[in-house]
Amino acid sequence: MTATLLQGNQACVRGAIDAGCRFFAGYPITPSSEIMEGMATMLPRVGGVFIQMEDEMASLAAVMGASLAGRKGMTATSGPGFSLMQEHIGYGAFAEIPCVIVDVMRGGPSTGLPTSPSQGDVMQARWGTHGDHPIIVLAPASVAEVYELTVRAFNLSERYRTPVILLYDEVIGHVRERAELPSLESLGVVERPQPNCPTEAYRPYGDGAQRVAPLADFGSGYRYHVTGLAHDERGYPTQDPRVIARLHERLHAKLQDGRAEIVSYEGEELDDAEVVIVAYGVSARAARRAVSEARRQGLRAGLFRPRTLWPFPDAEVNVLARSARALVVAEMNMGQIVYEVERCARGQAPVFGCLRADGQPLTPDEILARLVEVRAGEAEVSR
Amino acid sequence: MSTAATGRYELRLAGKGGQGIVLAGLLLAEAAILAGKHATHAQTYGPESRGGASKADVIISDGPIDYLWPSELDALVALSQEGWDRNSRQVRHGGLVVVDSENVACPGGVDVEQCAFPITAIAKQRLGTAVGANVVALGVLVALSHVVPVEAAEQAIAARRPGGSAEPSLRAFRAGLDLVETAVGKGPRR
Repeated sequence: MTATLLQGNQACVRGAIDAGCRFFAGYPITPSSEIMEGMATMLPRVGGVFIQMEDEMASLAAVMGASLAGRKGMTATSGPGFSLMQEHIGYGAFAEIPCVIVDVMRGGPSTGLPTSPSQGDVMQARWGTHGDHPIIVLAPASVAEVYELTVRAFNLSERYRTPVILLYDEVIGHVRERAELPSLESLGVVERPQPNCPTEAYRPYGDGAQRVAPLADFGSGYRYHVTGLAHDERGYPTQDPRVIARLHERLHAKLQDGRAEIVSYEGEELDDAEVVIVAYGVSARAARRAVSEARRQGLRAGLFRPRTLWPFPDAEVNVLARSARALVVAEMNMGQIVYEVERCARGQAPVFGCLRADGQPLTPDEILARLVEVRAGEAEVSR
Repeated sequence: MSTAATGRYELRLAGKGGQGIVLAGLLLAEAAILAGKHATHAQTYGPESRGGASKADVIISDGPIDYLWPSELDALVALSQEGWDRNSRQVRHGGLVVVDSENVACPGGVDVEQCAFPITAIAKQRLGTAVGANVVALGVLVALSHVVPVEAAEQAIAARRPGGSAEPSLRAFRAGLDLVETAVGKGPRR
């Protein structure tokens, strides 16, 4: 494919259409609006449906309705709208409805900084909805990767019957860069399997392949119940503790068992690294430059970049903590993934933050200065 | 971290919302890609839709671009006073600054190649409207910096057709080239 100047949000639209998304419902918000705009243009051309809804709660509800009827669906928003979607994210996780939610992060909390980047929604993406629930969150760091991970988000959501959150910041959303997109053949497109059992034997919440039962399209003859209440294998509400325990265990096991397929990351210069930077999204790009500059100055730095934030690559980070002298987490918030890395390090190496939450991007110089400080043992132990 | 060492050309266009700053940067980045280079375009604007500060950062490089922001500007185009005030200190020593002489008063004493042209006035004169000043500025910049070939810039304009038609923008672009030719007595490198 020839290289073109492409915007992150436009790449998301292309990825969604290529992955088979044929339904979008949303409410516009900076810095995600170009996704909605693009879907409004593209969907009618491919026989899809686009709806501007009255708010973000309704948007995600509409997407899940479309999904139950057999369409691949997506919505896109930013922090304030993402907050409103939380209730339905829990519903989607519990009722196991495939869908993709894009959160293009801007400065928060509240209306915050509408046009400035941030990575402040990382924990909200994991725990924003109430109750124990499994979730998949992907974090691209370039325009081409937005395309790739959008396709992946649809594939994982179909395979594991779960909402998947595509999480990136304003810069990755708005930046335009030369992008060579991977071929769709190399990424593959997962289509939703349909049940082939007799209708009376259908168990939409049974323990199927990869712990996921096939999801019958509404109207296809299989009658079942969908609810946010704790439910049995047929989808009917239950208070039976054994049935409820089994449901929760299966929901968690499906992502745990699929970890090898779901968890994705990239490492650079890690083999002999004495200080390892953990960074994701746009911060990883500043970190990459800091690593090469550090190496030029004789400081053996490396970069670990999760492409999947949840489930977090905890085993991989633990391995790094055993080999490196220190870990530095560079992120554009007041400290979120840094605590996760600290948990994974299990005391094997000290963990320091390189944090910034003023609406401005982390710079390679800031990260480099932090690396130098950490190596010299000048950083406060408490970070 | 010096930009010269990494083969990056870092450039900022700054002005007010509504002046077409983002579009001018976009055309430049597209021209760079048409010329076979790597390029990024990052825009910054405030919550207001018009009148607030607007800027576009374009990085052009022979290889892949990791960090998306300029560290030291090789060139600045300022179409508003605020665009100059906020950004002039980030221009590297010996860097290029293009300003609209009607809208921007630049104090001296700065170690940059400072070029003031009646950019908006020429847009009004040639196109009958101040809309187009952005593309005039692009012409001036390309003529002075040679950061992309003139042909690539014209190709990018023709492909994007700002405002629905390529012709007025091509005229604006060439008016920018002419401004430089008239001022320094030499045409853009072709």
